[in-house]
Amino acid sequence: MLPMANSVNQEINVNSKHKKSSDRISQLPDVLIHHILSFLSTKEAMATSILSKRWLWVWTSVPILDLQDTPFCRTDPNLHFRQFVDHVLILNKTASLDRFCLKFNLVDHPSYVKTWFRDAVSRDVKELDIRVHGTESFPFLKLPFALFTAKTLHVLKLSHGVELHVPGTVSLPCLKVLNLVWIKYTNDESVSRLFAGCYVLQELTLHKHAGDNTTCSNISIPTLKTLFVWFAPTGRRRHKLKINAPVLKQLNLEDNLTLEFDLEDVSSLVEANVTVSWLENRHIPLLKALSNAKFVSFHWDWYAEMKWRNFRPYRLFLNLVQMELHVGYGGWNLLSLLLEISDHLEVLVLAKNDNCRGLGFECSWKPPKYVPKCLLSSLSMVYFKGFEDLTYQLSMVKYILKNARVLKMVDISSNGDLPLDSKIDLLKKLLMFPRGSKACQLKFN
Amino acid sequence: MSEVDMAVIKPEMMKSYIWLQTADGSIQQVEQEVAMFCPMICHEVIQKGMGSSKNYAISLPQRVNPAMLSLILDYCRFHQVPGRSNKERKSFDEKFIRMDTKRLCELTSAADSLQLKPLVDLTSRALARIIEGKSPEEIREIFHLPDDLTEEEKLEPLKNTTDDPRIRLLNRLYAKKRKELKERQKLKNIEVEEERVDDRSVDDLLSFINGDNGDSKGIKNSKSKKKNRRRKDQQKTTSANEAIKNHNKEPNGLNQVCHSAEVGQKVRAGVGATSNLHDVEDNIFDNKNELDDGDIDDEIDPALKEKIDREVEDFARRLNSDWPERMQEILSFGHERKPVHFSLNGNGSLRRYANSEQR
Repeated sequence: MLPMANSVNQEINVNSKHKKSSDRISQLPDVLIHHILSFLSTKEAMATSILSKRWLWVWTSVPILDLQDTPFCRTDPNLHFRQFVDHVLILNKTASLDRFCLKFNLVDHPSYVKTWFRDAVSRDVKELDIRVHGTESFPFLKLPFALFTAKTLHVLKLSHGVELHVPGTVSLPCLKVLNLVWIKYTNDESVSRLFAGCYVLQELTLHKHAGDNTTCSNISIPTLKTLFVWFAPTGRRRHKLKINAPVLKQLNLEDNLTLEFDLEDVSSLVEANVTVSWLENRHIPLLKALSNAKFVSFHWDWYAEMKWRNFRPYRLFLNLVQMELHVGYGGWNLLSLLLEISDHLEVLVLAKNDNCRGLGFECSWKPPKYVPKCLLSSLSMVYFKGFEDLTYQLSMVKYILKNARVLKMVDISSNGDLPLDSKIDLLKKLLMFPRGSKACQLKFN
Repeated sequence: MSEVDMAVIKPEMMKSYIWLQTADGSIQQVEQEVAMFCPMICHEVIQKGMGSSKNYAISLPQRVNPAMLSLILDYCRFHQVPGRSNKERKSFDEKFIRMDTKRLCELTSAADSLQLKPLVDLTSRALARIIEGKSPEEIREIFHLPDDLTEEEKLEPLKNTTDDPRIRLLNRLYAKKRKELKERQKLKNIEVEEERVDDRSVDDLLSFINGDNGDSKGIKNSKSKKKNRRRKDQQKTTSANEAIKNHNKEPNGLNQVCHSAEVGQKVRAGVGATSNLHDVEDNIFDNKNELDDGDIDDEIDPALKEKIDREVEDFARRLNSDWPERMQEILSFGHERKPVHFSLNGNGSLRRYANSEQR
């Protein structure tokens, strides 16, 4: 009997030994396991506590709290989530939070949420990501003021049912990244107070819509390097956009409202990507302000007759190296204007905006009065996307091929609407155009 | 060597190499730019001048065995080339990470000891993806984890924490709150619910309505996601507006104006910060009198009421530092509401805290 028992014991020992040596993940130091768990939601991380003894308490020291109210908690809405968050905040022992992410529905009066934010701030949180979905009873969550004096906050992201209410002086000495997406503002002062309190802000993302209670967006931030502004399409409500950012390097702007532009200082701009639905006179100040940029892309759907007298001749786009024009219904003449003032342009990208595919057959294009300097000395690559085999488009290509002296490549791609035989005809036509540059290659697909 | 011989020396021979030694004693040489991609090796070379020859080979940490070193060097060799696009790098990473979990863990550990953060992130994410969405049994199976927790520990891993008095109280509150919510659902259509409007909530509502009215024109054309919600808000505010107008006339008129009891709910919600604590107080009161019973007496013993007040304050102090201020609000608020309650109800009860459950 005894020997049998022994061998059984031995077997068990071997098994457990085998298991121990092949359990590589538990052998990792706590720090690494925290790192792995930090890529999971806190709910999933908490679930690892029943894996084995080693995992019982590891999740409580993960420096990231990712708390999301998933649809699976709907049997007893929000009570489960509230209980869950309260539990997590009590059990998680981290004194220094890297990230606190909270996404939930505002079913009850949000007084309890204040405690959660207080907790996060008291743990020196570095990144805060809050998305609230308001309900009929509680459409918006006003954030407690403690958030706006958080000394350790580097990244703040607010979206949806949040109301930005800033009654006092803000002090966010570490904040580098700020995202305000679709939120509501108590008044214009709240925003300006917030910006005034961000002494080192580098990146700002602003998604705005008409019902958010502001009449003007004043972005005057001396340290700002990157700006993404997006205005939701709404009615004809006037809204003023003012930008005073002397060290701004990149600007991405989407204007679906009737914006009034006041770009006071964007002199350091390197890259600008602008998308508008209606290109009109009010965009001329915007265009002027982009004169220092190296890369500009302009994307529009509809085009209204513009008074270019206000635009030239003083401002030359001396730094412009690459220009992209995504043209919608019309407005191809802007190309001629821009070629004339961009003396050092090297890369030109023209595209027919997909939104207006099949429209604008009746458009026309007027070549520049004199051959622009960039065609003679710098333009080397031209791309034409969504080519439609229309007269004016052909004349544009012909003009460029003829006059560009240092052109290396012209790459034309049609938008797939053209049948194969007309594509072949088109290619033949293109190949027949005289070329001003011997080295110029023609690509077509 | 003659001049001709010198000229024949291939360029590869002019490359510099770093000598590395793994814990098992084996030494190998690696191209400098590849090895220097690891911060730990970089540090050894620059700060300590190690790695220039076989005798001065850099001793790598124990967690880096030859197999892992080979993998890590493959990673470094690809990524140290500056010209690669993000797409290329991502594609390489995705293929690189395909290995069994045992090796993934070893690689994580080795990369961590060499301070190669991008690789640590890559492997950690891969391990996280493996863990995500799986049941505990599946995870134990994959990683060969020992099933060494007792049944009790498994069932209620957080049980020890319920000894915390805050958690216990919270649990009780939540249970009561859940009951109350259910009962409120049943009583949603009762008129009196809607009539409990007082000055404070009217102010709240008015400012809310005024804030929103300016936007009503822009809203129609909105294609934003919030469109539907905004419309609902509009409906709600207009009906609440009417509710307020009729409030002072006749209580019955309210019924006709309000489309649904939901407005009443919202009107009550306009009460603001007070309603939540209000409910909590009620729950504590319930707790004290009939622990497992949801019924509440109509009459309150004043002495008991005092005791409850004290308990509530104590609880509030423990949980949240600004609750005492809230208490102030409620207490002063409660005084305002009494007369309204009287005139509408015709009920002679001296209830200080109006509660739906009593009806």
